[in-house]
Amino acid sequence: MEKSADVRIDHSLAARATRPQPLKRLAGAFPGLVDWEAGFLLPAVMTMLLLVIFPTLFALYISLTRWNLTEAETRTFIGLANYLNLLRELRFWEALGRTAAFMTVSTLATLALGMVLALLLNRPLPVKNLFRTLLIVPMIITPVVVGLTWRFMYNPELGMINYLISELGFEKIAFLGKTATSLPAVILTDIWQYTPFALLILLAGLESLPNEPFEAAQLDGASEWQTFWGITLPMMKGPLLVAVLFRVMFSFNTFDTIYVMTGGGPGRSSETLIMYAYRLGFEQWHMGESAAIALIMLVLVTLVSRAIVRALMPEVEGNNGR
Amino acid sequence: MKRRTRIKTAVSLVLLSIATFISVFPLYWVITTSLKAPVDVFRMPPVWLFKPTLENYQLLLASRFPGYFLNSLIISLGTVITSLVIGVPAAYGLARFQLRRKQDIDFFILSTRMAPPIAFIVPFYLMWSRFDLVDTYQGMVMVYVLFTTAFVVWMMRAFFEEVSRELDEAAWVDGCSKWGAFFRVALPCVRGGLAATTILAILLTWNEFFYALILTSFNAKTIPVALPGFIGFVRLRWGELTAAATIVVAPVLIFATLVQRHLMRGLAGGYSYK
Repeated sequence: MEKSADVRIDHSLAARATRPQPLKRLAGAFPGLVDWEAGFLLPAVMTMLLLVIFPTLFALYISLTRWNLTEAETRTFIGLANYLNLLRELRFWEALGRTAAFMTVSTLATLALGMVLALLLNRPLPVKNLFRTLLIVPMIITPVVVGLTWRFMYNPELGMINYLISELGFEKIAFLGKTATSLPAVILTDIWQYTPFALLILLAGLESLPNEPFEAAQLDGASEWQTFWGITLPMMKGPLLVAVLFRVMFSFNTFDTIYVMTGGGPGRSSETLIMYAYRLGFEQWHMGESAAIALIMLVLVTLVSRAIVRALMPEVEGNNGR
Repeated sequence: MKRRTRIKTAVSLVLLSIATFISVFPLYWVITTSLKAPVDVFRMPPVWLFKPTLENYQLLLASRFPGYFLNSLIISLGTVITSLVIGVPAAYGLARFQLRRKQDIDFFILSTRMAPPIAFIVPFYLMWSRFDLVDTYQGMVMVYVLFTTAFVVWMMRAFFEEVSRELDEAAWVDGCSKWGAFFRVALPCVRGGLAATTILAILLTWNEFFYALILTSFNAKTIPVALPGFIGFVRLRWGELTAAATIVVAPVLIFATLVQRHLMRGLAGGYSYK
């Protein structure tokens, strides 16, 4: 102990003599500071506390008030009235239903497609890396651009999709302008955008699987189908869990593409919870109700992700101690 | 047997080619449209062969677009520099030191990535209105720092953990201070990871739309927010829109390809399942 302290003094003296640095000068002024371990984390923790905890508590308070920016007299405390009103509102339940449908369809479809593509890519192929690079394009381009591009693709007069439909001899459809098709059209865009995400995670998972079980299965004469369901899928539990969790969280919060493509319309036909909260808060300026939806969403996403972790991987739960 | 493998490979190639076409075609269409003359943009059936022109880009240059581009650039760089300064030491601390309540900090950082942005926007909007931070660079940077810092900590922590801690320990024994070891030993070891994290964090802010839509209007408006503006009430300026979209997407494509190796880790927030 004493010895190492000596060495330290020596070293710092020598270093100060050879190359003076601002850091060293600071160290001289506050000898303990350069070795204070919690100091590494302090700025990040402070920032997070300031920018996360405080706004969350503030959001909780807002949700308990009537706070309409269009009225001169703002902010009255009304307790749980915003929450109770929401639960009585058909519009809330419809938005919740659309969110659930969006989340379920998009998650399942991206995972299924991602798995198929990952299996196709996980074999010796020429130009494999080129495929891989091009296939992830939808995921990396700016989400607003994705929305605008698809809005154009769906357009009845100029869009590629309707051009194809009319070339095949069918009638053109205004996908985004009809209440029956607006939500499915938006979901399809989400699937296009995030299949690469599932693909990347699942492919990485496939590539890290050990060879032995597959060789054994081949020797036993198992068919590819049997091998997939019996060996590949059970061993891919971890990657699948990660992919499902992130897809659920992403699709739950999808805003950019919906906003740009339909704005939640026509009418409310593609209004998910986040669109509902946005419209209430930033079109009608009802801050209290908007915050209430936001907090309900926060609780829902936490519950859903926990349920998924528990269902797919009981052992992870124990490991993390959460 | 060998023939079967060859057939399988051929089928895979065909299916993958179809998938690739579907993935890339919309973007191809946007980019080629941006190079068409205004008369060709709206022509149906689509014009496949045309003489490329930069007309749409010239229109953009003459508009407010360059200002929005600059806003996006300033806000992205400001955010990422701030979150690197705050986040990288924190990541190092989490990777190296035995700290009390480490798990809580971990969970806390992850939860900021999971939480719906809508939960933060109402309080931020009201606070920022109160402090005159709406539609300013500082205001945007402060909001963005919240989620990029969480991202930086999560990414860099994994990179630090991949480097053997014996190097740092040797430096400590040699009398180097904790910060000295961090700057002179650990940081140089994770250069590649740091570069990837920086790029991905820039892309994250560059692409961000939701907060910018609500918190900017004029002075600090970023390109993603400016883009839908081309769909005017009077006429659809599709040529200019596609040109603007191409300019936003070009750096994203280039940089994302550069850090492709780290892309998965980045998008999953550094989540590892091995």
